[in-house]
Amino acid sequence: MELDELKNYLNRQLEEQSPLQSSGEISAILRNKSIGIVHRIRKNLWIEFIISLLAVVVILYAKYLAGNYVMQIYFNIFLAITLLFLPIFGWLIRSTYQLSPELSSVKTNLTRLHLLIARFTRFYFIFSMAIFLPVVFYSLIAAVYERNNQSLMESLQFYMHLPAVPLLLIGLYILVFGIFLFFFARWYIRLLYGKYLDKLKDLLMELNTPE
Amino acid sequence: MPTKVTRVAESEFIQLIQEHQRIIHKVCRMYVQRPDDRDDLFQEITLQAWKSYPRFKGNARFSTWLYRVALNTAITYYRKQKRNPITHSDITDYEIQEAPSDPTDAQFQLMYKAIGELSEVDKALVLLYLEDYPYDDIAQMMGITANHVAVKMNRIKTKLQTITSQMRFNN
Repeated sequence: MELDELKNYLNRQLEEQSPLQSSGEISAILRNKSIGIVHRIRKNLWIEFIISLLAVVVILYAKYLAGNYVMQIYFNIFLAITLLFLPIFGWLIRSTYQLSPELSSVKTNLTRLHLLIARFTRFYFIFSMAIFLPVVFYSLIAAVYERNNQSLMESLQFYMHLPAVPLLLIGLYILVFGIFLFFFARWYIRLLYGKYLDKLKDLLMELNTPE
Repeated sequence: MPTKVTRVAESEFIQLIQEHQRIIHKVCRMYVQRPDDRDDLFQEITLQAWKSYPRFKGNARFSTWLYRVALNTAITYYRKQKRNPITHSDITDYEIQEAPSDPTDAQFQLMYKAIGELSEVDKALVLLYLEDYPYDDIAQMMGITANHVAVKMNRIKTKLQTITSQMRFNN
């Protein structure tokens, strides 16, 4: 049987089995929200953007309230990271609006979507790591500072003059926590978008296969 | 509150979708097996088309434009793992309900099932081919050359023959 013979059959099947939507039903669909991946990513990015904006306000307020030097540095680092990522989130949000399925070919659409998700996941990972590692480091400094009311340098020196075993344990804690975060963030992002990214990559490879 | 212009555009769009909804149904049927997933995809394609409609210039046929939106949406459609993931028996049950009594229809059904085994890209090519689009138009929609379309169509035909033979052998 030839593929051409399927044409009539396919059309007949569709006419017999697809329930045709009334104008009321189509109108109701237009009131619904998209369930597409671009919409989902855009929503996530907007949430990140708004949370980052709120975080800037909260950090500035906390910085104002924090009397000691160590906490000031701590909040400054957070502020710098958040401010650095705000335009990146903005830029990614803008990219989601530039995807237009009606204008581009399948290949272009796939390329753009793949690029968008790859960037989104990469920055999401960097953002997670950038936020958490200073937390670990500065929580150690702050712990000493709060206890002994020492300066930043004195707090650092406290660790330098620690006996080998506790120092090793602290180093090990940072290392294990860092490694855990690294793999957890990678695993979580892969769980959310890994398979989908692989699928897009395979489709693009298929379209790019030499003739 | 929607303006008068929006309402006019909306009713115009709804009418166009009603006239061309078979295209969306065809794409949904080609890409999704479960009926409730098809409804979701139908909704997503219609929504994407509605969002893109203000940019529809009218210099292309609406059906071609809708095909482009539908295919781009279906190929990149992201399905979260369902609460009750589809099983082989679900598919079989569904097919049994539709199983034709006529042997010729059974052959068509086999071919139709074989198309379901193709990749998303190949399914798009088959759909456009079945709609009698010239290779140049298919190439433009897919973003590849017409020659590449021809080569791919030949490969798809061979693939379909292999899949249907395997299915016959398994049955």
